[in-house]
Amino acid sequence: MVLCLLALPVFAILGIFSLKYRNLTKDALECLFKTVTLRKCSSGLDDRIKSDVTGTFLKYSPRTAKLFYRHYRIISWIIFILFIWSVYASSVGVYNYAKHGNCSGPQSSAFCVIKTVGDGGSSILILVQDTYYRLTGQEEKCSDYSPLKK
Amino acid sequence: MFGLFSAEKIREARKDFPVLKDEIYFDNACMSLKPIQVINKLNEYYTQYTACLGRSNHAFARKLTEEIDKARSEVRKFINAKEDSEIIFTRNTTEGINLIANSFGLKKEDEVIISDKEHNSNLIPWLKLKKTAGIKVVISKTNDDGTFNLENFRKSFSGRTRLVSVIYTSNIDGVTNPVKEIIKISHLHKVPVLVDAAQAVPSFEVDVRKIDADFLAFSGHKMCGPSGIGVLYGKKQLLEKLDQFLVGGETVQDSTYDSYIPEKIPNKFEAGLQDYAGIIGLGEACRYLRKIGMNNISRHEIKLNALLTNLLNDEIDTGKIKILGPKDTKQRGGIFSFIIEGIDIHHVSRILDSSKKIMTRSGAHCVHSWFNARNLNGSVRASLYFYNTEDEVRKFAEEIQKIIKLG
Repeated sequence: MVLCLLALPVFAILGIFSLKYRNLTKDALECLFKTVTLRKCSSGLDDRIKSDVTGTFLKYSPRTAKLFYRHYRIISWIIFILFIWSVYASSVGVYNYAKHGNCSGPQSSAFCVIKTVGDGGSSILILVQDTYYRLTGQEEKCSDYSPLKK
Repeated sequence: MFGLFSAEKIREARKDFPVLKDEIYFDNACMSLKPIQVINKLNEYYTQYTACLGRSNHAFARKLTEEIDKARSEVRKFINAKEDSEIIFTRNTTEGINLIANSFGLKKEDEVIISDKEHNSNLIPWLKLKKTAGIKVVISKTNDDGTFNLENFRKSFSGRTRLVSVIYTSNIDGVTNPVKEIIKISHLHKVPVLVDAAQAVPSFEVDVRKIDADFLAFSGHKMCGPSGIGVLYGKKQLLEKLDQFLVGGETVQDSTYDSYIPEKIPNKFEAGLQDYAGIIGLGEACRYLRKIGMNNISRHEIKLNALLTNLLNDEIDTGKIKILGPKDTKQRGGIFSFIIEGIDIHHVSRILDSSKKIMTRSGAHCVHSWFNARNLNGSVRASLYFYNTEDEVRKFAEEIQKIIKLG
């Protein structure tokens, strides 16, 4: 049930490109609808996710598979809460960036994954593994712009 | 091509199946895999003589007619029918049974006996007639271990019994019914018998004359043949008396605006343009299975099932696994149908697939009536065939043991 809610946005985006994910999105939507109307999901999507993940764990570690299979509900709730927290934190970051030009808030010198450079902040750089990338696709060396030298 | 079925012969046979790679395919009761010989035969129709049968007067049509005749003859030999004209090509077993149900001329209050383990293919057509024509469907109960109860069956007859329609081999638990005795009893009551042989024909030698079947239906897709092609066998004198089911092109000799003269058998039952590639492919599948040897197939399936049961003996004895059907593996053919205590059947099947690419089927296997009567939501079914190996069975058993520990 819970993982269906998590899967919905992911499948919805992937569904733009693939029929397979459009069908999964429908299943996730059905599950969401049933959940909010306090009924049991009948699409079986949750069960499929549970079984597939358990099967993958079983290949490498039967103990992990057992842990996941037995505590699936709790684990899904933890993932769900982390997901909500992550969405919230990202939203705050984006809001701060839009408002203050820094995702960590006004006058903050803390690390921000998004960085503006150039006159009036005309370019946006994104940090990926010590290297900043311009949104145009051009690579910029970390040392040129970042105070975070490793 | 193959003598006794050694591991080497199996390896050799597996090479015929291009789809077999590292997957473990245990869903043969639903759909068997196709050997390259059958695939090539299908291609042959589309690449060498694509035509209409018997309508056109050219080389392609003549070649096609020859190939269809050969295929019909192969199928006849495969089930030891007397004449080629007793072989009617259908889409599948379901269509064959529907043909009989709709052509037999059953009227209100007429009774049809079926068993309580029938596939929906051999239940729904009769239930529909119950609704539309007012016939009575009499259910003959099987024993608790899934074996056929001849005493219950004997008691099911009445003066209104017009037809018996039973499954040969159950797709739930692999139990093969004593069809010869069933037919003998039915004939004593002067009642003809329709046999649903969809699971039987792929796994052991079926001889319609030996069992004295009046009608027998089966599908190509479970016996290495193409999907969408099946066969209805019927004794000539009975088929000739039967009314037509689907009518139209190819089923009449002549027509006016008011009337028509039906074709002779088998054409009178093969309406419209047929799946020619499928028919030719099915003929090739019969040839292929005959080369492998039906006794080899049957022995191999039982051997693998016995091995699997032995490997999981402790789990069965302790009740962690419940097997559907009799304890004796010989009575279960190549089907290992089971429920793991505390773990959903669909989970088991899906976990097997994602962990070790083991393909099984979970659910009611189209026999909802049987499971509903026992308050079960289904089982996991591993169905074995001649190209499966002992090694695959061992991997399956190991994985089941791991899955049991999840619960």
